Amino acid sequence: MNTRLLEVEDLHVEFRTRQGRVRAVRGLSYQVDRGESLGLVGESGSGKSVSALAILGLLPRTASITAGRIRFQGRDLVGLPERQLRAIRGRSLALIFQDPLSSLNPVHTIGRQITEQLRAHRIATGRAARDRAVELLERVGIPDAARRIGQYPHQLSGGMRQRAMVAMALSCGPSLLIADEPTTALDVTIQAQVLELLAELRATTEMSMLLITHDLGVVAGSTDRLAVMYAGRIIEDGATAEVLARPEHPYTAGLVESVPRLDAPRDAPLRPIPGAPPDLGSELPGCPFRPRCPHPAPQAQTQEPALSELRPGHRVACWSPRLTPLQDTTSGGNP
Amino acid sequence: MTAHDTDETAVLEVRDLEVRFPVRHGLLRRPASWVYAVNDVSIDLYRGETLGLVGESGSGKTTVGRAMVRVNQPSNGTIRLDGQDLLALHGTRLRPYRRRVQMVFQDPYASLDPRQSVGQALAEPLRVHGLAAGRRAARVSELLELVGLDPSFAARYPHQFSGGQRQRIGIARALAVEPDIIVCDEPVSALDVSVQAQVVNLLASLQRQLGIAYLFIAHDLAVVRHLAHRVAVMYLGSIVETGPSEAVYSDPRHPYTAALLSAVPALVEKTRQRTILRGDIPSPENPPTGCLFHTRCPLRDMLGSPEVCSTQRPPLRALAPGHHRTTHQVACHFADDPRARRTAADVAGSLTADQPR
Repeated sequence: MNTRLLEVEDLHVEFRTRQGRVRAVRGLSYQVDRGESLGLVGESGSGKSVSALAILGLLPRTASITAGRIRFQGRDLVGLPERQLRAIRGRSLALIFQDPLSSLNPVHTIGRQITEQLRAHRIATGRAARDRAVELLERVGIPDAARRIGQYPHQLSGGMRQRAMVAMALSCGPSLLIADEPTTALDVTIQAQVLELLAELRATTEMSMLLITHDLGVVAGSTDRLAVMYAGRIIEDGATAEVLARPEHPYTAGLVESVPRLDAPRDAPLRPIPGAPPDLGSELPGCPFRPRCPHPAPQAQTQEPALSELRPGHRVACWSPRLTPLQDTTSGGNP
Repeated sequence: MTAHDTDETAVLEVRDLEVRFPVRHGLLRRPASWVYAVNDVSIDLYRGETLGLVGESGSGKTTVGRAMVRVNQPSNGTIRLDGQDLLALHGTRLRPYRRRVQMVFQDPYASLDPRQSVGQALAEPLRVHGLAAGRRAARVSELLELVGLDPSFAARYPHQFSGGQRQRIGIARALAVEPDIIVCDEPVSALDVSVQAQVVNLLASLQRQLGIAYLFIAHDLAVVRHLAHRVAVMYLGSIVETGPSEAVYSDPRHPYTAALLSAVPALVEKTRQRTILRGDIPSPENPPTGCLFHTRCPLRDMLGSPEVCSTQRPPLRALAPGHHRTTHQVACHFADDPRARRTAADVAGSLTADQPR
């Protein structure tokens, strides 16, 4: 019946710094349904990773959730005591980070880190846990798994470590995997391996995925829906293929046009977005993208536009969408 | 590879470059063995052109770039700048050549002194090389304008700038001494995409204005394709394929190049078959025998593992005769094999084929 797995509603996260408050996330709302993969895309400072940390209850001490709800499997995670959060985290809510070396414990073997998780969540112990660990490592394509479980993180290559992280994340059969820049630190041939693994897992399990990245190419092949963040909010969302082929927000269109592509003519000019993202430490009157917008609407001066549906399932927060038609660089035969 | 038959001479000529690092063991930290980070690399760089040097981590691309500015001391080979062998020069005699080859780094924040204002940072190389005496402030303003920054920024400090602006400052600093060549080591990979395009366009326009040659080192094949006239692909310290960008990107003839291109995620995923390489890059401490790529090579699998792949190192050879600036060269025993060409064609675009896996 209920297909909604994760629902983030009007989330606000603030950091306290010496220079004052920084509003990293300002009214963020999105959902992930069962079995769905959502890509959360944004540049540095857009608030995409902060929102993931908020879901997991892993925000640094200087940050706090000032408003909003995070409902996971029907339960609000905001304000949940650490003990209860811990029971969810790693079990039904798993995560992988950009840098596996900093999220694996260097003094424990890979096998121990997986079996510990299985034990902590009371899934398996002893011999059974060890067997399950080997099985998981094999599942994520680590060759010679029975020997690898006795190895320490530093003995594995970057790609293998990320696979081990995925194995650990999968160990308790999570219903949602949050992957924060899972391939950013990897070489492109290894990135292709890890993305293939994630796609294969999605095809063969019920697991949903929240994929957070700055790389439009990574979301293109790995997600059903895409949400683009700017200055702590979603400014456009919809089906991934549609948003990338027909972006309506000038920021999304700008991102698509500024990425050098192998499938575009070699001398096709890159159209960068002028300027830089706003400083979230100061007040942002009007639309936060206005200073960089090619043709801001008059209302943008004073009022921030809300996300509204332009086509079924495709929403955009812009006073004048469609004013930035994208140059047809894809010519994939779309009408 | 010889350059004597050229009608146009390269401004920078690198021949048989070798850079090795000691692997130290034991209490006395004696070098027990050597890791060859760069092996037998020969490249030419012509005035006003961009040579893209691509490869994954551990390929040796950065080491080559650092050798150009003499941060790494090569153990063998020559680096000639207008015919003068740089490796034979030391100390003050090297200085005029240092001025002509500048470097731009990946992380502009780490390459700027936080206590130095931008104006001081830009004036320093002028002072060291005795340039623009008496009009340094004016030259600093000029440099800032050249990279699209406001001259008033000279009074500010690095932390007051965004990543993109800092990279512009890094470029201005390299430009200060009017170099012929700039070695750009991953100059845009730390930047956000929207800002990355600004810096890519800036580099291209500076080249048109000033005729500087770039050795552009990057792992991002799409960025390199956009800027480079010629490209060289490195794997485990050696160049495995090189040629004009159009040729290498549209008709890659080394299976590694083909796999690299196929691994780049596309924004609009067509029905292309992707070649996903197995395994990791082998350790340069213990490189494979024969062809360096044979342990991961999908073409070798397709051909039924010919023995020559694991016993003989294939030399870099031209696919067709011609001036070597324009020839397409590949280090693969089977570069001319029709099956290799078919795989390459699949990667380059439209066709589909069996996925070698």
